[in-house]
Amino acid sequence: MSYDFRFTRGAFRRSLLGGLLGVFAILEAKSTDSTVLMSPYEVVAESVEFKGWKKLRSPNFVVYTDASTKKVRPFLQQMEMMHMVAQVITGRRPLNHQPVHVVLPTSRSDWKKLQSKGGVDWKVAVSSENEFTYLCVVEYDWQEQGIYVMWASLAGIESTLLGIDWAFHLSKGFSFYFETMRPTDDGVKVGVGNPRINNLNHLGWLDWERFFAITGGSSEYRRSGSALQMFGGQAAVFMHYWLAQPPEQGLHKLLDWNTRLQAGREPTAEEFQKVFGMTFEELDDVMRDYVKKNRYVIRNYGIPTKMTDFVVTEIDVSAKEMRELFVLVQIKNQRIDDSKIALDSLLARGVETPHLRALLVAACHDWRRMDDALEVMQSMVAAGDEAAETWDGLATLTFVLEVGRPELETRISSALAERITGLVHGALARESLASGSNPVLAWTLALKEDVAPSDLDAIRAVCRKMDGNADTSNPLAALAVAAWRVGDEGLSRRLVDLLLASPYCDEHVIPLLEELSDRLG
Amino acid sequence: MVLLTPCPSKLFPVYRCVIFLYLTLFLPIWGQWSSIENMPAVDDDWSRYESENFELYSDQSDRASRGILEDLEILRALFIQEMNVVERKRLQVTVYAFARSSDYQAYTHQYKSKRKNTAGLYMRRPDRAVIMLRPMETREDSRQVVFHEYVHHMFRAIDQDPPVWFNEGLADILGGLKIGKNEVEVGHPMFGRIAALQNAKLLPLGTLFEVTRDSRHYNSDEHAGLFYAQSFALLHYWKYGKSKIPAEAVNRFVKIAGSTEAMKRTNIQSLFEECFGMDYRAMEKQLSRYVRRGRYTYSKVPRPDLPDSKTYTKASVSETVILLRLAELAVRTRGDAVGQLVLLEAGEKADADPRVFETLGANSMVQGDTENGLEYWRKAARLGSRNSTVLRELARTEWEKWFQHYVPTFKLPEEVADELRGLLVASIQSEPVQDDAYEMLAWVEGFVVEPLPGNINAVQNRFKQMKRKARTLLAIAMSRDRMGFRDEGVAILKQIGRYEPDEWTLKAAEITLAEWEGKDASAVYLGDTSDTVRTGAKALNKSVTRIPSVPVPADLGQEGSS
Repeated sequence: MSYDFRFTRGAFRRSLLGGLLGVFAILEAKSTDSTVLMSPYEVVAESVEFKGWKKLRSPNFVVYTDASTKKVRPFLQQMEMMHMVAQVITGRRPLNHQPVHVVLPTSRSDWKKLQSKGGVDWKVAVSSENEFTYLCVVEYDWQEQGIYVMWASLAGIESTLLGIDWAFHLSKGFSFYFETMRPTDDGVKVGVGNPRINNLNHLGWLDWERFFAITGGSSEYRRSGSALQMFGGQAAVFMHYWLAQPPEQGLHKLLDWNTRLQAGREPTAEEFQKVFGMTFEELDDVMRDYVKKNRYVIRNYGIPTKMTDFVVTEIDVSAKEMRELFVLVQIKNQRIDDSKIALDSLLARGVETPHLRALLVAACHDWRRMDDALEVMQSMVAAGDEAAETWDGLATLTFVLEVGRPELETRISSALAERITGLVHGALARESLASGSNPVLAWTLALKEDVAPSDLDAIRAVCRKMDGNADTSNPLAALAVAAWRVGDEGLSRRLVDLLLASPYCDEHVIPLLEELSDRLG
Repeated sequence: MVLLTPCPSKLFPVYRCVIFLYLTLFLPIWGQWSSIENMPAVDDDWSRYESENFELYSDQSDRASRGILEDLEILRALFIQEMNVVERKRLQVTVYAFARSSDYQAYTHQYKSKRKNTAGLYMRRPDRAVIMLRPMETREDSRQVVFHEYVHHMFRAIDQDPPVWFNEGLADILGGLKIGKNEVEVGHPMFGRIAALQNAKLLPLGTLFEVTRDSRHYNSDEHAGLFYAQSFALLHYWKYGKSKIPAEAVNRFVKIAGSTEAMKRTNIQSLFEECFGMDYRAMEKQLSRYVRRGRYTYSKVPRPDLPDSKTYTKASVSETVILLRLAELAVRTRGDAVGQLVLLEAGEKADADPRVFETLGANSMVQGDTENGLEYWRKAARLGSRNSTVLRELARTEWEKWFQHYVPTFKLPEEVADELRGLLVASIQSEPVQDDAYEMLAWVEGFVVEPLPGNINAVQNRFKQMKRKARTLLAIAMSRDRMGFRDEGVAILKQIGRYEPDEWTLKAAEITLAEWEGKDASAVYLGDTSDTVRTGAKALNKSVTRIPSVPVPADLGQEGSS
C-alpha cells in the first residue's frame, strides 16, 4: 500500500486575499439542490454505536480515539512538542487558534467501515482540513504501520497556524520534513532522512521545471505511479536541504520563493535564480549530491519538562457527536452524491455538537455552498462562538458575497461597511493578524461611500501590521485607491509604482492597479 | 612598490637598479628617506626587552619600557582568563616604543593616512605582529588603542572569529583597562568613544547583531562610531551596569552569540528572548536609559599572577641591530624602499639574521607576490629561522602540492617527507601550542612508506587539545595501516563520525575504508548516525521570521490629514 496524505487546502481565505476570483468561480457553480432526507452516511452512522470512543485534550490538540489512553497520551505530548518545534524552525508565532482535532481510529473500529477516497485515485492514509477548521483523520492502520504519516499531515496544519501558506511543493516538503519526527528522551528529533528520498535513487528525478509546476490537480500528483513518488522524494529533499542551511540562507529563501509563487509568479528558472542564486542545473547538481551523500542534519530539540507537563483531559464522547463527526468527514472526503445528500441533510437538521459546526462550514466550502457556509457562520456567531476563525471567516465571506471583487468604481454603503467592519473588529479582537479580516478591512474602508482621513490612517495601520506577517499588496492597493479617492495622487502614484514593481504583488490586484495607474496619468 | 619584490637570489643587481631609480625618481614625492644614513632614530639608545610573550625595542626609559611589556602581559593573561581559551594560531609580537614623537611619526608616516595622530599602532603581518608606541604622558594614553587592537589579535590567535559587535565591544571594554598595583579595573570607557552615544539614536539590536565587516555601520565614518560605542555600551550594561539582568543570562547569551560558528545554528532573536526573558525593544529601552545617564561603573579584578617586570630580560642594542629592526619596521609599515635595501644588504652576509628574510617575505606577500614571499621564507628557514608561523606556512605550501587530491594508496616521496618533517617539527618546537603543524605532520606520517613513531606520538599527545580532530584522525588511521596495523586503522576510521568531519574528510575516510575492506565507496558510511544538532525549544512570544511581502514604505503619506 502506498501511503500518502491529502490536504483540503480550500481556497477559502487565500481566494479572498487573491482578488476574490476563486470564490466567484465557486459561486457560479453553486448547487441548488435541497434534499432533507437522511443520507446514507447518516444511516450507516446510526447503525453503529461508536462504543469506547473518547476525547483526549491537551492545550492545542483534541484526539478522538477508541484506542487506549495509555497508547494515545504519548502522541498528544509529541503533538505539543511538534507545535513548539515548528515555531522554532520557522521563527513564527502561531495565530490564536482553535484546537487541532485528530481522529485516531483503531483497526477494529466502526470508523473503518467507510474509507476516504478524496480527490485522488490512490489510497488516502490521512486526510486533513487546515483551512477553516483543523482536522486530521488517520485512516490507515497506524497501530501496525506507525504514526509517521500523521506527523506529515499535522505539519501542514501547523503551517496554517503559523500563518504560512506554502505553495504546493513546499507544503509537501514541509510535511515530509516532519514525517520522520521521532521522540527522544527529552524532546523530539526532526530531519531524519525521509525514505521517500530513496525512491529517487532508482526512479530518477523529475525535471525541476516540471516539479515546481506540479499542483494538487496535476496528473503526476493525482495518479499513483513513479511520478508521484519522484515528486514526493524531490519535495522532501528540496525542503530538507534548505532547512538544513542557516535561516538566512535557507528558510528565508524558501519563504521568499513561496511568496513569489503565491503572488502568482511562475516558478521559472529565472525567478528561481533570483531567489536561490542558482540555475535549475545547479540545483539539480546540489540536490543529487545531497541525496548521494545521504547525510542529513538531524535536529534534536530538547523540550523543557515544564512545557510538556500539561494536563490531558479525558472525556467520553457521545455516540451522537461521533456520528456527526463521522458524517462530516465523509462529506468532505468523498466526492460522491451520498456526500451531497448528507450535507443537505445536516444543513437542514443542524449539527448539534457546537465545535463540529466549523467542520460543517468547511464541508459547505468544499461543496461550493457559500451561502450556506455564510448562514452557518452567522448562526455560530449569534450563538456566541468565540473562535477567531469563525469571525474572520464570516467577515471575509460577507465581503465576498455582498461587495464582490474590489474595483475602482466599487462603492460600499455605509450600512454594509459598518456591518463588515463590525465583524472584522470582532475577528481582530480575537486575532489581530487574522488573514482574511485585515485585507477586508482595508478594502472596505477604501471603497466605502465617503472616505475620511481616519479611514486612511486605519488602512495604514493594517499595512504596517501585515508587513512581515502576511501579504501587504492588498492593503497597500487599498491605500492607493483610498488616497486616490481623497485626492492624494502623489501617495497613490508612489504606492501603485511600488506594487507594480514588486515580485511579491498579488497578481489579482494588478489589473486594478494598472487601471489606477492609467487614471493617475 | 610592486617593483620591489623580485626573486632575491637571482635578481639582486636588477633589484638595486630598481631601488636606485625608485629613490631618485619617486621618493621626493612620497617623502621617504633618501639614504640609509637618514633613517630616523638609528642610534645606540635602544634596548631590547623580552617578557614571556613579547619582545620590545625601546629607547624610552627602563621603567616605561618594562611598564609597556607588563601591561601587555596583563591584558593577554586577562583575555585568556576571561575567555577561558588557548592560543592555537600564535603569532610573534614585537613592540617598538619611541622616546620621540617625531621618530614615531617618521615610521608611521603614510601608514593609513587617516590616523596621523595616533598614540600607537598595531599591524598584523603574515610572519609577525607589530605594535608601535609613541611617548605619552601616561601609560593609559598609549594603552588604549593598542589594547583594543591587541584584543583583535588575540581573537585571531585563539582561532576565533566572533561576530563584529562582540569583537569590537569586548575590544573596547578591555581597551579601557586601568592597571593598578594589586588590581585591574575593567569597564572604563575608552577616551572619546562614548560622548556621541548620549544623544544618538541607538541602532536596533537586531541590526547591531547582524553587522558584518561589509556593513555600512562598520565601514562608514558616519556610522562606525556609534556602532563601536553601542557595542561597548551593551556589553558594559550587561556586565557592569546596575540592572536586574542575571549574570547567568548574560553568560548564556554571550557564549552562543559571541561565536560566529554557534550563531550559524541559532536564531539570535529567540536565543535573546530565551536568555533575557524580554524582547529586543525592551532591552533597547534599558540600554537607551543607560547610555543617556552616561555613568559607567567598573569592576576590579585581581592582577593576574605574572612574573614581575624586573624579571624581563634587557640587552643593549647596537646601532647595526637597531638599523635592521627599524628597517624591518619601515618595510612593514609602508614597504619602505630604503628599509628593503638595508635588509637585503644584511641578508647577503653568510651568517645573516633569518628575520631579515622573514620580513621581506611577509612584505612580498602583503603585496600579493606570494611566490617571492615564499622564496624569502625558504631562505629564512635555511638560515635557521625559529618563527613558527613562517616554518608552518612554508610546510603548508609544500604540503598542499602533495595532498590536493586524496588517494589512499598514495606514497609521499621520502625526500619530500623529510623536508616537511624538518619544517613542521621546527615549527612545533618553536610553538608547541598549535594545531595546524601537528595535523600536517600527521598527514606526512600517514602517507610515507615508513612512518616515524616519534612524530605520531607527538601528534597523538596533542590530539586531545586539537580543535578540529577529524582530519588528523584520518591521518593517524593511515599511519597505523602503513605500520602494518590495519585493524587498528579500521577501528580508528570508524570513530571519525564522532569528530564532526567536514565533507572532504568524511569522503576521504569512506574511500579509505572501502579500499581496505574491498567494498564500493558508496557502500560505506562513516558519518555520525546520532543527532548532530541540539537545540533548546520554546514557544515564541512573537514571530522572529518575516514573511516576505511588498515592503511597506515608512512614508505612507501624512497621517490624519489626507
